[in-house]
Amino acid sequence: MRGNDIGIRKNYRSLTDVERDRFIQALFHVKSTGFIDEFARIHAEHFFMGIHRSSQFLPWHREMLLRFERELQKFHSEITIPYWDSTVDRNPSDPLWNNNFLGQFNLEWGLGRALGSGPLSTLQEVESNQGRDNYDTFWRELENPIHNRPHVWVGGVMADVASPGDPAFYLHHCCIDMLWARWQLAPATSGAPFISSGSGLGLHDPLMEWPDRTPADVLDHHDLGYTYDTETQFKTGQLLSYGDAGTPGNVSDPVIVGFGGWLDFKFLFAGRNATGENRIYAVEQNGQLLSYGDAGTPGNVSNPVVVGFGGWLDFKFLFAGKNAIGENRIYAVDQNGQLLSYGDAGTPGNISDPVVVGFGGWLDFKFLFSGVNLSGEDRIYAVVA
Amino acid sequence: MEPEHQDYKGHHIELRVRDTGELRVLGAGRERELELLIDNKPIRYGQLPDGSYALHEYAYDWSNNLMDLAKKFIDYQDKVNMIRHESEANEGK
Repeated sequence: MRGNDIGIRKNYRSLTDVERDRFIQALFHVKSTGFIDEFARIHAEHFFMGIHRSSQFLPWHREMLLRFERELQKFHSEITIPYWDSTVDRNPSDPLWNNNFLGQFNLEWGLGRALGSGPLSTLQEVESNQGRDNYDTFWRELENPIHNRPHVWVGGVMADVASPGDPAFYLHHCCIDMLWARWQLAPATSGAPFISSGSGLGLHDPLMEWPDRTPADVLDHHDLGYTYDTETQFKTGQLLSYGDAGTPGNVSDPVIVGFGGWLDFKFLFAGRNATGENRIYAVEQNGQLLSYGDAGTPGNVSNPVVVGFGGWLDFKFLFAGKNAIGENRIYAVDQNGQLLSYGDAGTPGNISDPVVVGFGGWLDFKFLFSGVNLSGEDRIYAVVA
Repeated sequence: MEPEHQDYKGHHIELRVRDTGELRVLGAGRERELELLIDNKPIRYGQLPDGSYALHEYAYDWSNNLMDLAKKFIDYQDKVNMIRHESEANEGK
């Protein structure tokens, strides 16, 4: 039920440990194959030929990142390039530069970084740039100073024409691409035309190094198979998560924790398994009972555990609760009107045999759910139809 | 730009015409090309589509004036050296 048809590029801070380690391993892999050095060479070779200081700056680097991402995906299909927002992470002590992330490459790859070698742009500058009403003024300012400054701030290889030799290049350019995508999707500028900065740099002119590709081919990043975690246009079947501050109108902005497919379930409810883990339970169309964990960050609902192998479509009601002795249970009303109670051990297929806690008549209710009364007692509530 | 030389923060910056042998290799009819040297060491540079200059080793600060750019490169190198020395000192603690 994850968004496996489209890749989600997200802030590096939102990576799970598994995703982070996988990305690092893939970087080592593409270094070992020579791919990174080849990209550094290509970038250096074309640096003065229109990939910078031209209307092809953004399309060319979008194509480059896409090719890099696809190379990483040969190592692991779920990898997407994370982004570094240098208006937020502006300090050499930020986790981006930890030795379990990008920090480890500095000595190992001889990158010669000197973090802090120049200024970084502010959020205010970036937001001001987002307000530009045409492509020509937008890309010029986005490139210089917003894009240029982090290259100098990192220093060493990152400040060189061969900057793709430093993995920081890809996280930085991913952020620049995200800002372009955001500008493209903004209501005020979503139809803004591509404006060529000169001869050979137009919408249908070939990109340097990849002449079968043009800016027109890369204008829609969704068509290229990825999106950004900053995009909040909701789509059918997404699982959203809101926080309720408890005060009027103060429910939070939602987090899209599952990117699609959640409409296909018959039952969907939250609960806890027998070991006390918070889980989201779902009954899918084959009657299996699935259990998901929600990491709380975009797209990071876990792969499901099939805790019950079949027959769960036959119930009229299904909900989680606690019994009077504090055990986490899943309650179900079967076709005979009995109220059943199951325990979920949390491992595949290991839901318990049911205990029949109510012998009949439970089909007659319109609503049925569990809760806790003001005294802290666990209760099951029902509305008589 | 014209040939010139300046001293800046203890460094010697020189813009000089490439020697004729190099010009022949580069092709006849080409505009006179200047070579940039800092402390007698050649510094590679290029021109972006709008004519502004960038250095290969310091590629993300652009200027229409090569001498000014050379000074910025010296400032950058000073900052880099300072950061590296501080980092090494901290690692030694």
